[in-house]
Amino acid sequence: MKWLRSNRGSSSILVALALIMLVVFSILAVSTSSANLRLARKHAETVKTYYNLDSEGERFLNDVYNGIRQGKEKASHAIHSISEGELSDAGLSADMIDIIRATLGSLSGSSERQNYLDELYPKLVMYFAMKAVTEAYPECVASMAGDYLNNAHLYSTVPVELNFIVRKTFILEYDNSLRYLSVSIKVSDPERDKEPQDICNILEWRMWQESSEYKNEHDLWEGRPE
Amino acid sequence: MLCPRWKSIKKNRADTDGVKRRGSVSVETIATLFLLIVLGVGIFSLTVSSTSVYSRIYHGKNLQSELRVALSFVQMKIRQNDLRHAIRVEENPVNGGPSVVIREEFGGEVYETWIYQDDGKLREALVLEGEAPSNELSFEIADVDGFSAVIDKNLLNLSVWMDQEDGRLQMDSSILLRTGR
Amino acid sequence: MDNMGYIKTRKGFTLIEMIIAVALLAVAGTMVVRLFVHAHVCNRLAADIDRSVFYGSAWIEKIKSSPWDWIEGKTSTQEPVVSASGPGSYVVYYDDSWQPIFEDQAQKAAYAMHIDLYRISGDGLWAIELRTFRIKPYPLRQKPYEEIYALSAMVNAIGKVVEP
Repeated sequence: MKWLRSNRGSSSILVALALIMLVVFSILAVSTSSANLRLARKHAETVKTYYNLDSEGERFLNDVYNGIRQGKEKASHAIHSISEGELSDAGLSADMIDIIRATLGSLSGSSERQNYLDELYPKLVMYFAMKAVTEAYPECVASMAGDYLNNAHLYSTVPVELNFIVRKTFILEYDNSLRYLSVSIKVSDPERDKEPQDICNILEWRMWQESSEYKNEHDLWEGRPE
Repeated sequence: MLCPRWKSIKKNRADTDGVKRRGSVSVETIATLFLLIVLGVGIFSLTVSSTSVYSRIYHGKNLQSELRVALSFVQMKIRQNDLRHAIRVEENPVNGGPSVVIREEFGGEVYETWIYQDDGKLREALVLEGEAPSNELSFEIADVDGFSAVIDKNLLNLSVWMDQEDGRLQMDSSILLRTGR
Repeated sequence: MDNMGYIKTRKGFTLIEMIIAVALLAVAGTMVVRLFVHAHVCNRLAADIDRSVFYGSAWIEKIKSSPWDWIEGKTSTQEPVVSASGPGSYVVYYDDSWQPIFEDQAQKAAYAMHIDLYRISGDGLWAIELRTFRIKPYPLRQKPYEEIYALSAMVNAIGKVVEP
């Protein structure tokens, strides 16, 4: 075996050893930075998902604003029709028309009638707004004070607390988990000079996701799948 | 088997045996030495630079990661608890620095989550309403050297930073409290 | 056999051996250096994505807090670094260390954030599109003005109710 002994190529061995070390370092560096990049991208996608959900909430808010805007327009039209004596053109239900007619009949003097119409206006705004929002989002509307849609006696001279709450939860599936956005909007005191965004108060705009559950598919004690 | 080159070298050595010829270092020797030096310097510089590059990459990645975790944690907590009158900014009693306070109700009890920075860490402490937070009651979230929270008309401006020898690495963000509008 | 013994006892490096070793080092060293540059670029891109996400979402939240200022182009007093590139379109320039810079220093800019607002519906719903670009190409990538991140959101900006 003496003929196998040779010092030739020892520098190449040194270079090879050094290169192995360098390649290991470089692979470590690449894997570290790739993992960092993956994390950054994942975070970026999470933020995109948040804004997708947030956009659903903004659409919902826009629909509520539109409902209030419609409510104000229809209430103005109804008040105008009532003051002209054309209650059938007011767009109200028969029960409400009867109550309003009876109330107007019981009032004497133009100032009392005008006071009644001024107090009726925000009630009618709530009626039409709640109707519009309920049509768009059934079962999302809850009224604290009373049922504006079905309780006709609210439109007499009875003082009424004017508010209702609209609640909706949006769900988005992302990366095998569900993300939720709960939106809760309180509509209250729809005065004539107030904008829809002033009439609405956002009570809740909460995003969360379902907690990840560890699913044990293997019986660790027995060491075999169940 | 013997190549002609080796024959010539052997012959020269035999001719000059015992008589050293002055000023005749072989070119091959010089070239070999030169290349050896080049090889040594090359390996050494490549090794030194690769270790410094790797440590810089690793250090940079860690810094970035800590700041990202810190800022996104605060944003996530705010978004999960954006309820009316639930979020405020206050001076924390630990070191007087800014903190984000989140009010929550669990099982009839009212709790407050204080998020603040102290002793090189971003911390989160869950205490009953009215109680003061402390480092012993807190969880460490990320390594940060500074945290700032300023609220301006429902827009909460957040900053986190790490102080380095060559400057400050800072990340800022803002979040609108929807329930404030 | 004498020649074999002569070869066997000679120690040290030969020239050809050194040439091969240096050539090997040069070739493999180039590949190793490329790997390190790639690692550095990945790290840089991750940092840029993080900044784009945080700064981009900050701009979106600022727009949501006062949408009409942005729709009507009245941002200059509050945000002097924002430059309008058209109706409802804005650009914010950043330097290499992600500090915002003014439009007249745009030649020094390394990043540009384009913000566009456009109306979705006539009843006050607007879309916000935000895209971040790296102006100078990354090392080993020849693509200038590469898009790093894109984000879109919506905002309500309703006007005054006109009553009949």
